[in-house]
Amino acid sequence: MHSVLMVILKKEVKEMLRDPKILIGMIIAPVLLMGVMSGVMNFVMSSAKEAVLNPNVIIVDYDNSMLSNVVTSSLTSSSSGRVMVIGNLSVSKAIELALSKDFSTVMIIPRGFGYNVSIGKHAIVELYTVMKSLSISESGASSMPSSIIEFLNSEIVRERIREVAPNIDPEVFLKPISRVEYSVVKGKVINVPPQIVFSVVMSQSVFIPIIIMIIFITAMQFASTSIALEKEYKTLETLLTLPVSRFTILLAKLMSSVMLAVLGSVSFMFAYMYYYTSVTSFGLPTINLSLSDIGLTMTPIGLLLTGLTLFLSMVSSLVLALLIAVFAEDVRSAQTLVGYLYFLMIIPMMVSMFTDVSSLPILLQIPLYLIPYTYTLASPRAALLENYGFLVIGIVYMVVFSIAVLYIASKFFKSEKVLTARISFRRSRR
Amino acid sequence: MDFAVEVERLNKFYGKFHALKDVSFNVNSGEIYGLIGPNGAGKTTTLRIIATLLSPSSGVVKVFGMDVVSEADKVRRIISYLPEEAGAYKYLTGYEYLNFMASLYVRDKAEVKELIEEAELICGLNGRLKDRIGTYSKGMLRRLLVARSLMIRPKLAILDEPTAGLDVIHSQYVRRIIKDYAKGHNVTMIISSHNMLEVEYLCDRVALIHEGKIILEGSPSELKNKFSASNLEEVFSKVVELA
Repeated sequence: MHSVLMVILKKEVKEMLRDPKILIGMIIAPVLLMGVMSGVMNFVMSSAKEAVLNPNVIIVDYDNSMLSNVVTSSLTSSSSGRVMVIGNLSVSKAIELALSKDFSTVMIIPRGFGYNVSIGKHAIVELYTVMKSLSISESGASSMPSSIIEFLNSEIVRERIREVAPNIDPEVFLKPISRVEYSVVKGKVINVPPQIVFSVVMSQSVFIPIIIMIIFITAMQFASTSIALEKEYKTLETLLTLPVSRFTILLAKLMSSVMLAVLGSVSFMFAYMYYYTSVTSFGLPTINLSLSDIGLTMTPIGLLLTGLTLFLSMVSSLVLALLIAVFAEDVRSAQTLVGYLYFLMIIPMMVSMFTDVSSLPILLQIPLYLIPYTYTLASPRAALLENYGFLVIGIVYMVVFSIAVLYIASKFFKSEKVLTARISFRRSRR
Repeated sequence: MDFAVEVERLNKFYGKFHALKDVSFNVNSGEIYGLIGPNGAGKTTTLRIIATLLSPSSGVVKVFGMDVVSEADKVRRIISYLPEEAGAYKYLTGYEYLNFMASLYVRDKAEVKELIEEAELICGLNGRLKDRIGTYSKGMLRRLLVARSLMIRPKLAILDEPTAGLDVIHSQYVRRIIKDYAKGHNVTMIISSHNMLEVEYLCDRVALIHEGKIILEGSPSELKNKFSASNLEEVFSKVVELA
């Protein structure tokens, strides 16, 4: 049995690796796609960054006061983009000029701006942002002029406070109450606000559901394809009359699917990592905290249980995919049919991203806990929080689920339904 | 006398459709037995049941005394089945395909090699065995598959339309190797075909199957004499008209 299994396994792997449809569709295309995506994102992000940091601004200064000069000189000195200061031009002409000379923002400082501020009246600055392509980078173009105005606002307020109450720290007036936030994780107090804890957990565990999805979807495609190919190439009938147990055939297909899925997933993961790092190298400053800094580490038991959960969900999804492929006539219909199984993953994934399943009404909990992937997706978080009871329940359920599906699958493989069952329900050829 | 194949009151239903109606026949050891009849008559269903792929709705089918349902595993060790529209793994080379198949029957590397050499002789594809099967013509593929079926020296070979869709040259080649192999190695064969000339050339005895029932059985010469016909095609037409 062992050597027969190896013979079939070798054939399965060889055949799949040589099939350009599989090689291109499941290994090369996703990697290329990620590469292209990261290239495009790099370009987009860097041009957006350029637009935000170095806006091209036309300033129409009707006021020409000391304060308006402060505004224009701060913008001129902080942006390495083009800043054009004009004394007297109508708003429409200024916008026309911006459109023709490719400026992103027009700032209008009306007459009386400096005077109004000096006598404690409201002053207005108008900002016109040119939106030619309605893109993100354009929306950020006015952020530097706006922040200069904000800075001036707070400086003016501080100055006023100093004039009125020279002995009091203006910050006390601006912000009479400050909050200091702590989080309590696993019973320990950490000197970090809960939002930070959450974002650290999310940023470090966001990979896990995505990786699970990628590996499972790829593995399921391989598994269903391996059955469907036998039908498409008309080799299944011959295979089923060979002196090999149907279980061995099933097992070989399972194993080859796992091996190829891991290969596909690893290559995809590298591409994804490249994509992720190239995208996150821009934008918001990253939080330099790790899960262990905030006391969230996986113990060896947690790691083992999570691994076991992942393995069992992989087995159950592959057997489901094999079972479903039995009904398909060719590769395309097999992949379509397996596509319906993705909903079983997507639903708990969406739920687990936003909430904890146990906090939902019981009527929603029951169907969710019947889907094995609910445990899969919740397992890393449960392991971090040392909620081993949950993990064990999940493992027991998935063992039962996998055995049940395996039993049904092997029943199908041993019966003539493997040949006669068709999703189109056409009568079998006689 | 023990028969190589015993089919007794075999019935098969596909849902409500009655595909085989009380089919009974026996095949002697070392005989080439032909099932002839039009498309949809039930030939393929009968062969698939003997090959353990389908289960009978009722009736008994035995291969060398072994029941095809309860002893399917044992039956699979001594039979070889060639489906009508069989394909092969197109990304494997002909040689790799034969090696894969042989390795499922024998463990020893030397024995595997021996079987492959046998297959090489049968198919006559020579250097092309190093090429991927996807590059083969239909005739070459069929020769490879016939070689695969026979190289393992089965006790019973079940060949469904072995020359369907082949040109004259490949058909003749395939027929010749089937006949030579059966006689040379004392292999029992059941062949289905709607090429009457082929059946006449190959088979020791034939059964005429029509709408799921066997309506005539005998050696080609017996049948021709009985219906005063010059060939089986005429016999077939006359019997179907009578039926």
